[in-house]
Amino acid sequence: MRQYIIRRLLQVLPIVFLVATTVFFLFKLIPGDPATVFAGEQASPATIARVRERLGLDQPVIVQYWRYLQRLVKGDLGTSFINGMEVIDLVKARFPNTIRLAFISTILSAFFGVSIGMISALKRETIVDYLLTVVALLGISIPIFWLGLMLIYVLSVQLSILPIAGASSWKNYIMPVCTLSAVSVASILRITRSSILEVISEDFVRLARAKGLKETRVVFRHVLPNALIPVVTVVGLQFGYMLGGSIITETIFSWPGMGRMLVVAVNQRDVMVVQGVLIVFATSFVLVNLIVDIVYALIDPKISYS
Amino acid sequence: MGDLLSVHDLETRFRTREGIVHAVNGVSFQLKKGETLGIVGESGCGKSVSVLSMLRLIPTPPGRIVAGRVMYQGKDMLKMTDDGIRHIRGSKISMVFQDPMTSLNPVMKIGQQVSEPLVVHEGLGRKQAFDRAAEILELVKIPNAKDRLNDYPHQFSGGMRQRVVIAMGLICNPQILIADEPTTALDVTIQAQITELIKKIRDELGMAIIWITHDLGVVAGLADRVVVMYGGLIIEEAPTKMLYDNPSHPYTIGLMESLPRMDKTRARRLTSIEGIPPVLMENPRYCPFAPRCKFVVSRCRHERPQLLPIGEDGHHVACWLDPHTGRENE
Repeated sequence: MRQYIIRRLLQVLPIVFLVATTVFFLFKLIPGDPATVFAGEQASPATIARVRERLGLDQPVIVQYWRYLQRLVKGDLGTSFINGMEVIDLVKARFPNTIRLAFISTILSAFFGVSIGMISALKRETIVDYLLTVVALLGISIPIFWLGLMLIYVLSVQLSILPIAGASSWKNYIMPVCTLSAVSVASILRITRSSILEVISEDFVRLARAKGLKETRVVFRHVLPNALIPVVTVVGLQFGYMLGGSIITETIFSWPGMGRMLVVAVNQRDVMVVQGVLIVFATSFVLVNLIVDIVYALIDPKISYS
Repeated sequence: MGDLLSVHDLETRFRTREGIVHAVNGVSFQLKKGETLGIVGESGCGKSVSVLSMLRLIPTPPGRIVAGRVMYQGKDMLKMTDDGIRHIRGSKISMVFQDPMTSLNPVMKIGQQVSEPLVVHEGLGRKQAFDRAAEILELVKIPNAKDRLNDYPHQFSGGMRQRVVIAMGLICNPQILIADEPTTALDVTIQAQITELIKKIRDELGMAIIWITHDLGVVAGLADRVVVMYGGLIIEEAPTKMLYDNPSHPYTIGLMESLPRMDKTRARRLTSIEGIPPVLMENPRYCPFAPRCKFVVSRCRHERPQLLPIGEDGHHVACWLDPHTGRENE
């Protein structure tokens, strides 16, 4: 098992390298001069030239790339052009907020998605099932930004029961979590429902009933452990998407996380921050996938670690 | 009466997109203590549905048991509470299904699966239940049974898995084992091993068996009595030897003629029964075999024959005709 994890971790390295490379060259392709942004629109050509030299932008691209990689290996993501702070420190300050939001949303979507999906499957083709299917469809089709704005309008503006923005108390979490979870709950619900329906018609479930087991035991010991295997993948992916989805949600609710920081940095053309955030997002996504694979190996005995 | 189990006028229907399918249309049979009863018929003749209905294992919906009684120990299993029937399933009457590759839960250890009926019905602790599981796995000839309790189903071959499923059925010492085509999905050599194994265990434990198959050859060496089903009905019933020596329903005769026989010296061609078995969208008011029967007379298409005794002891046939003489039955 340990060997498996180590091997999978090593496989992460080339992916991160590719991401870093892509991000670097992507920014070289974008028109506009970072030195001008850094020095300010009003700066004289001499100042801009000095800034360019200090940032190493006067060097050939390949040299810049090499220095960038060297810095990355040391965990240095560069300095913000706008406020001169280390990008890594900005990330350290903001990332926990994003993770916390995504984590709470994932846990809640998994809980509600699985339990509602289970009810839907066990009550299949009844009015309950149809209603839940419609709700799931709504969850998938409603745009995040619209849902977020509607929540703010109703709960904060009209009813004044929840704070509009910020992250100071638990009340601040309610609307962002709802917004971020809507799509996930719906997707997890759908996959749980179809997965349970597939498993429930298997022979071993019929045999479990023929063994004289109570229906609850049949469902929780025989149906769910099998049905949840594909659900684990979806939950993991949803967590990954939530890191990205936080961009919209955090902007709507002024959440002090990485998503909002990214939007602000893009607007300010703060190349270093954007670069850093992208690398951190991509790496987290890869790591989440790795964790899903490991969990997979733990719950499905057919997957061996070797 | 001396019957361990008796089924009376069992009727089961399924709701489908095309309409109501009448899968079982009034089946009655009895099983004595320690007896082996073969139920024979083509796919879709209602043999599996009959036994699943007995234990109320028909998925409802779409299935529904609309009539009948299944008497076991003086009680009608179809009228029992859910708890009542659960105490019988797996403990007094257990089942083995056709496909060993799908009959085991892929994410549960063999030991847990085999011992589960003990835990549920007899409240045994994990350790004791596992010990018994190891014993029963040895009985069904799983090598190194004790070491394999913690293995998962995918670590077993098809034949070995079927042994595990059989062990699971036997662990509570049931009075009746229902085997629904337990050898159909296996290689011929493994088929023979499994059949022999069940025979041996039956003789050791003295349980009754209901053996469902479409293979007359398997039943010949195993069953005391055979019931032949067609179109959701029993069309012939007889002690095994009598049925093979003197099949009396045109369908049974057709089945026998499609079977190679080692005990008949005269060389003959194997024949097939023309046509396909019916999908019954209504309870047949006439003989369901009439469209395929080569002895058919006009009465067959208008009236359904009852299962009635003919001549010899225990031989019953549902046919308007005596195919040996060509005369109509009384």
